Amino acid sequence: MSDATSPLLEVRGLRRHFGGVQAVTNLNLTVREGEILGLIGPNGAGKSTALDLISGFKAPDAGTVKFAGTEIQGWPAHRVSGHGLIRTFQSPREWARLTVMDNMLIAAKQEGRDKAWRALFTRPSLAQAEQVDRQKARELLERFGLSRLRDDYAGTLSGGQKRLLEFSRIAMARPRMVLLDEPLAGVNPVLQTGILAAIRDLNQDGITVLLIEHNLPWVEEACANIVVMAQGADIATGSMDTHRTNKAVIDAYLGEVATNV
Amino acid sequence: MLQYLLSAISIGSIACILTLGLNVRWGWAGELDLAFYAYVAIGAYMGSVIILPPSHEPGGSAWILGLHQPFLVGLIGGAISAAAASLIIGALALRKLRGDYFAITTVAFSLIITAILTQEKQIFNGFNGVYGLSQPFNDILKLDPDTYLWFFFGMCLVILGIVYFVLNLLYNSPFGRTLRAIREDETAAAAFGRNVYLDKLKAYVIGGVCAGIGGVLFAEYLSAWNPSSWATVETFLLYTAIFLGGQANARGVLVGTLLALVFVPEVTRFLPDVPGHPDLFPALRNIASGLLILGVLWFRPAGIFPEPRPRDIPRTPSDTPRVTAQSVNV
Repeated sequence: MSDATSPLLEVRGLRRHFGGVQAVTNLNLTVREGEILGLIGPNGAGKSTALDLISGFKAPDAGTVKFAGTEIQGWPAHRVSGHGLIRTFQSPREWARLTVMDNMLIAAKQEGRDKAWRALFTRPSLAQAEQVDRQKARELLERFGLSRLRDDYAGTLSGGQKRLLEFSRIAMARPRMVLLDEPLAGVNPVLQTGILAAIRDLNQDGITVLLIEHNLPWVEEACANIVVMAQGADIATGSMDTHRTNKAVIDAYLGEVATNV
Repeated sequence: MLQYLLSAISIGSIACILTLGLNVRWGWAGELDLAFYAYVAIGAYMGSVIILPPSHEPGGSAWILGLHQPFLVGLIGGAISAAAASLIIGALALRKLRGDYFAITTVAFSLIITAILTQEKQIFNGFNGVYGLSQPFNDILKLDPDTYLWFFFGMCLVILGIVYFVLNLLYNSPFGRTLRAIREDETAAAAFGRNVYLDKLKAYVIGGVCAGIGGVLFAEYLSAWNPSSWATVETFLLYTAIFLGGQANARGVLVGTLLALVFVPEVTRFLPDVPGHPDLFPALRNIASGLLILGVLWFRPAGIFPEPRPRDIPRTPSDTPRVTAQSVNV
């Protein structure tokens, strides 16, 4: 692992509007290598849009996104992903009519193996790589408690199992960093600690995490460092304790006081 | 009777090549393509004008090229032409459009192609089309017409076999798996590093190659090709076959094609004519196709043979043959 304090992701002056709506006005945040950073804020603060802009699913109007030393703003999503920055969505987005195992095999880094010509001319090496991937996938599914379900269609899993499959896929892909968009959405309270354990597991594997979540006690437990966003901009960064005494944060979010009537 | 059967199953194997190609687009990649028959026509026309000698049509009407090349050159040329057309249309339509919007664009393309090829006399001889194709390889083989039917059937079967084999390799590869992931959720596929646009375009072009090959064979079977040989709506009949047999299941698609495109039309052909109503049975045939697709979607939406579900759990010989209560509960 490299220096734990060096920044892996640096977002500066990020901006994006949709028609007349300013979704993200001026977002700055820094995620250090190896940390789990939380991103909180009221509904409509622009958190999800920010994730879309960082992960390449939407292009920013202005600002820079620097990941692992490279400016990646405006890159298409698949290229950002290939660079080692993978995101999840508010709903688990499993590939429903594919088995759990196939979901895992697709998540694995391909390194060109999914090119059409390889299927016709390099079959032995594909088969070999697939055996390695399968073994890895079996281990991960065992770890996330999905081993028994690996031949089931992913669409037949329960909401919580789909979340676990999502973490298994991330672990399979082994990115340098993952952006988690509301990982607790649709998860029952019992499983919430399981999800936290799964995120810490990913983090132990050396994956840096930026997560959006509304369940504040859970975020406080998961993240030492939390960025608060309101009206499209970051308004404070620090621990939950410092946020609790920060007037701007209380006004914008914690105190549920509307600042914009 | 035997000749009749031979020609029926020859056209059946050609139809199988077409449905396998459409299955790549729809069954694998989830592209609702309604222009498929336009690519069949492009392949058929281009293959024909590569094989045929220059045209000597009266009245300023003609077909292009007229290269007088052997059948295999025409077959490859037809496949490349259909693939090139797929590449151009796919590159435009797949860029931003998804689902219904993509489907509408393909219908428009198909109708434009129909209109141009029917009206324009300088490309493929307008409504009269291209004609005079001789039987492939028979200048060397010199078979009598009855024996040649066997040869033609065998040739179609071999080409179908090659198409089936290659598509199976692709389906079972990481590439095939990627296309299925795109079919299921292309946003998630992009999140896991897939260039969705490029992969969808590849599926579209592979489908186009099959359309071209089937088109050239079809033209050879008819020994001619003109606007009355095909129509945009025939793409729907191919979909009937795919839905019936089972989407994304090659074997199912073959069975569906033989049932929907060979068995049903050929059997109903022998029904007696009702005096005074010569169009009754052709009309009933279309109604039967419609009922068939409704029935399948209602009672067995995944088709006769649903998409195979790959198993990761290794099966030992001892536990495969019999199903015990224990193995069901696992």
